[in-house]
Amino acid sequence: MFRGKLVSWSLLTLLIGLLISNTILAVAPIRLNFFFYKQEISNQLKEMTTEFTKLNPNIVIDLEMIPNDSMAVLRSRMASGQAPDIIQLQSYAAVFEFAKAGWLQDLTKEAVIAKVVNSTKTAVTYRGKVYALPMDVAGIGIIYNKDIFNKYGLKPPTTFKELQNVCTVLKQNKVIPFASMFKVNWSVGHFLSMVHTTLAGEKVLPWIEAMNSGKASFADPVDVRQVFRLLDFYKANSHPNAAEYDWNEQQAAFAKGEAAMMVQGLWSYGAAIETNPKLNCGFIPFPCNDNPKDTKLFADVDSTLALSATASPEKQKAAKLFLEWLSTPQAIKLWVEKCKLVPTFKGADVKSMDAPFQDLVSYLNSGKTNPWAFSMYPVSVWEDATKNGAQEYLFGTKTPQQIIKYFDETWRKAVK
Amino acid sequence: MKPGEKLLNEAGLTIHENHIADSHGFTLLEGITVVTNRRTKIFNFCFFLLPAIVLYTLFFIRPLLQGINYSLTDWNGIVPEIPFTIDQDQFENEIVPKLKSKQGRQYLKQFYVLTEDGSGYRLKNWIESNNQIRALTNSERNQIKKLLKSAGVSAIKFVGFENYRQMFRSDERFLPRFQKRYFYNEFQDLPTTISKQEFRDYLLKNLKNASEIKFVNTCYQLDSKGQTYHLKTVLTATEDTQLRQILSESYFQTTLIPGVVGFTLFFTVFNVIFSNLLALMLALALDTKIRSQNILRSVFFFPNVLSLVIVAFIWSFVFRLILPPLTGIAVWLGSPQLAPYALLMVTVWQGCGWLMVIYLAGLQTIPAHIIEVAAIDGANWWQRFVKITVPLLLPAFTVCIFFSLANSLKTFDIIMTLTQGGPGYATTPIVLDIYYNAFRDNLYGYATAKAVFLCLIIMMVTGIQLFFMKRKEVEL
Repeated sequence: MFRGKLVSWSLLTLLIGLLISNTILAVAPIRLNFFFYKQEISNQLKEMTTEFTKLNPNIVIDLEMIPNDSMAVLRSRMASGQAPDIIQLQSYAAVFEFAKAGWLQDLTKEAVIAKVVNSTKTAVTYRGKVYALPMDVAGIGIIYNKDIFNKYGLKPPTTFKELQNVCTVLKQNKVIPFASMFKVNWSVGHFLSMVHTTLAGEKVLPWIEAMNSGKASFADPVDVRQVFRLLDFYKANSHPNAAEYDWNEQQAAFAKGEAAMMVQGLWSYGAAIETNPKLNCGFIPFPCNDNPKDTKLFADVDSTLALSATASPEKQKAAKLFLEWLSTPQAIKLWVEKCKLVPTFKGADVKSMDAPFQDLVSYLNSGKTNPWAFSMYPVSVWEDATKNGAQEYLFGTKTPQQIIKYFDETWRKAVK
Repeated sequence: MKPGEKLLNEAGLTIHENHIADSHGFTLLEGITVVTNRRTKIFNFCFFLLPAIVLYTLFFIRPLLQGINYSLTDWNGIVPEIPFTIDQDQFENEIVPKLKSKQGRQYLKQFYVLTEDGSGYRLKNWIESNNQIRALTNSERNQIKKLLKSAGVSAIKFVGFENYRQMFRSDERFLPRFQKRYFYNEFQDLPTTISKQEFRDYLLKNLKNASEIKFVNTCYQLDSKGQTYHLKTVLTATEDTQLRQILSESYFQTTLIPGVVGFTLFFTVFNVIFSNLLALMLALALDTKIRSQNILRSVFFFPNVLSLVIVAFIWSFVFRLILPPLTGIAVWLGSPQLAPYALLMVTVWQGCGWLMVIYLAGLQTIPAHIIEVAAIDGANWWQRFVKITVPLLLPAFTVCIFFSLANSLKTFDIIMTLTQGGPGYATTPIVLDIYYNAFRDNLYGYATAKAVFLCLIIMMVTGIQLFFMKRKEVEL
């Protein structure tokens, strides 16, 4: 009995000793908090961060995903003084908002920023300084089913007239032209902003500046009549019950081949291809008028990574190391193949991506793109006046004049 | 006989009034005086009442006062309490000279350093002291805040009642208001036919000018049946533009847009009426001695137990796939006209089980012999219900109506999961509007003002309701 006690005591001391020596000797790793909202890549990001930790054993990255209301959560987090170390932010407005309040680190002189395609930097530049690393480029346009198009001998349209013809042919053959979702406001909001930007073309950036100084109106850079005609056209060529359709129904309708096209961001392609792996898709811009030169893709930087300015110096250093690693071929390969997102780094290899992404990349390379104007609208203008406005027009509760008036007023209030 | 005594009587006990306090001095039965000694009173106060008061102050009074405070500011929700960056000019020429003590100046300069490119001063969040790098402590932050405040710099600006003014004056979404609903906009093709009634009510009545009326009457002609107006087949270009202009300006109907407040009121009134009616009916039905009453009670109570996510899932399924073939109406939640009613349906369905339980409990306290006596006296079912059951059930009514009133004024969850306030803004109640203002539009101060307004409304409405209904209650 005495021996048993001795053994257990010695074991216990050994254990305690081990524990103490472990904590003293081993260098505690630096833990970085990585806040992100893109739920479709949560597993892939985990894979990437583990790869990074393999190379840098003393840095551990804790992932934290907040898919819905990520901005609300982030704001409350910052208000309580606990900013995450690495923050995934939507381009433009979100970056600018936090940069303006002083939460983000100035990355202008970092080496990794130099490796990014120049045109993507406007999305993260606030008052001449770069505050985030642009991570992926996304496009909003028409994702179309090539098989259905081939079956009826249709070509991807480049003008509005051609699009009208495509829709007539599809309707004659009892195929719904567009799978759409009107029940939730964001998709129609994208549509309205896309149409407005495409019609405004070159004028869109000066227009935003003029709006910010309170001297312009929604109607200024475009033929308003065409904007709302396109909304009518879109509604007329959607499923009659589209008002009841949500994202799931839209994806289902498109994946099953009930509808030949959908106006969506390319991020939807993943969901559609998952439902029906045999889907053969292409990606084209939405033609808004009869001049093929004006038909440009509505594409821009989608997500960016920013670093907290309030993190401790050693964490800041570690976080910068991570950003630097993201520009290595190994990381880009994971980003492209696993996350299926188009990278922003110069000379990135995207050959392995599916056809719609190749379409996007070719538009990007030829420079035939329009910026995402909605990301530059003040938050309330985009969230309320544009998204709800588009819905209110489609459901006939407001006239174009009323929508334009509300849009202008909301913008004026926001910049006051 | 007092209710408590009756209970004990039924249990076969007889009691004497003086012995009804239990050993701890708690009052067991209402209306019977019990002598509690001073010590127990103090004990009760310290251990039960005081903690409650402290908690109440901490978690209700304090946030309420804080809320009122925020509602008078223009805080947008993300600006930090002490500014991270300050313009060089402002820092050197405005803030520093205003600080009176030299110590204060030095203290501030210790934490704000000029950035490398000289664009401004930046707050040092991490400082080196005793060879260790550490974050700023709370007391240091407070000190900085105090110093900056004394120099007239604060992140949050006091705006007085501006938020409240804005809420009632310039918020298009908030209050109910009249709006012209146009039937034609200049981008559309001219309508070829207009029904006689619409032509008269929505077009001719809106025209002031006699020549315009004449012009419209020449363009549109009544057909042989006398029910519809038809557009002239051939229009000259000038006629076309003139007609377009007239129609786009004067072909409208004036409708009331409920706005956020209107929708909340609509929702509250109908929800209180329907859920209470349905609950009462269910309770009356289940109070009779039918066989499956226990199972049925559980069945009707069940929606209350379900998680909201599941409720939303079930109902979006019902609205999309089951109701359209049954009713012939294809779009429910996506229609601005129908969505409010659809939501009402779901809320009543979910809420009435809970109310039913309260009514059932109320019904069971009504002694059967009173109703029997009334029946022997010749009162029919309706008379018994109106003259006996309803008056005796009033306490249950008070509770149920209070409960449903307060709950429907602050509905959020079901609407958030089913429609997110859409389509457009058609189904946005005040709480959802507050949420959108605060977390989507970056208007924390403004949203808090709305929240304070809502709080006052709820207090007022429920207060009035309780005051009047309590007076009507009868005791057995």
